[in-house]
Amino acid sequence: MLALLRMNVDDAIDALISVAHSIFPEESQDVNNKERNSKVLKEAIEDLLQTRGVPLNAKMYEKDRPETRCKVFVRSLYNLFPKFRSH
Amino acid sequence: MYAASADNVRHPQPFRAYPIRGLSVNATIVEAICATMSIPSHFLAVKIGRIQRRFVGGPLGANNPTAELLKEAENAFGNEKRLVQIVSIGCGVPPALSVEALISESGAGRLLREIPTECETIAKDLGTRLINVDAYLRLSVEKEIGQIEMTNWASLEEIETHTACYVETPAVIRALERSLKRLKERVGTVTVAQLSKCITCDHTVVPNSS
Repeated sequence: MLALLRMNVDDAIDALISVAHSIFPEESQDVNNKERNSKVLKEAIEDLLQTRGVPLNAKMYEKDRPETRCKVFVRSLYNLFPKFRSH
Repeated sequence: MYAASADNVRHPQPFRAYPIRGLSVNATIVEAICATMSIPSHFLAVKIGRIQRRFVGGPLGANNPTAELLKEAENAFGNEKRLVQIVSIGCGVPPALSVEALISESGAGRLLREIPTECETIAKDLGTRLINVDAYLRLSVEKEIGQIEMTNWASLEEIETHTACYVETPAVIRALERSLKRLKERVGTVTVAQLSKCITCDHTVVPNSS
């Protein structure tokens, strides 16, 4: 949010709370519906990008995007041996 | 922010907004954010890339990524680059938990307790190793922020109150002022290589950065 979407700290906090509100509305206790949660999360992030004028299919790294002074990365972990183990 | 594979065997994978040598998954911004936020108890895994690897967020074993940050800094800037400030932000002291509760608890509730516990364990270790290094600033409320469950995530008042008290303590005010001064002056006192050595050696020799 701070680097790629060029938001300031206060805007980023507000956006995070807004995303969380979308996924887990206070009146709903049905927070364990994974399909619904994933769908709403994706929509909320897409809304955020649209608000910031960023295309929905924008990549983390775009060769033609003007370089900013801020480099950002998020770390992920993936499965080394996903489904092919014989035991 | 971190994501993890949906399965048990995990391997770190960064999503970067800048190029470096080597193979790297260039996810969309939406995919990357969703992956890091999709904790497995409440979200489906996010499929990314040509072979549709599945990622989830909130993994154990990948919180408090200070060491990973230094590796990225080395890749992006070189290990002789001087660092002005690393700011590490914690989420308070993890709630005390009995062994019985830890064994019986599962899912998101357990995750919410284990993540801060692991973050704080790493932070304490780093705090000891980097005690004389001004370039490392750790901010984390020094008291337990109540019992917070998934269903009462919206109760932010308590967190805000504790945080406000914490940042108004004299030691934290001094630390923040020193940090701000360093950021304004943009003078690095320690190199990426020196800091990496500090946090990976068994017998740490800490450079005096003051």
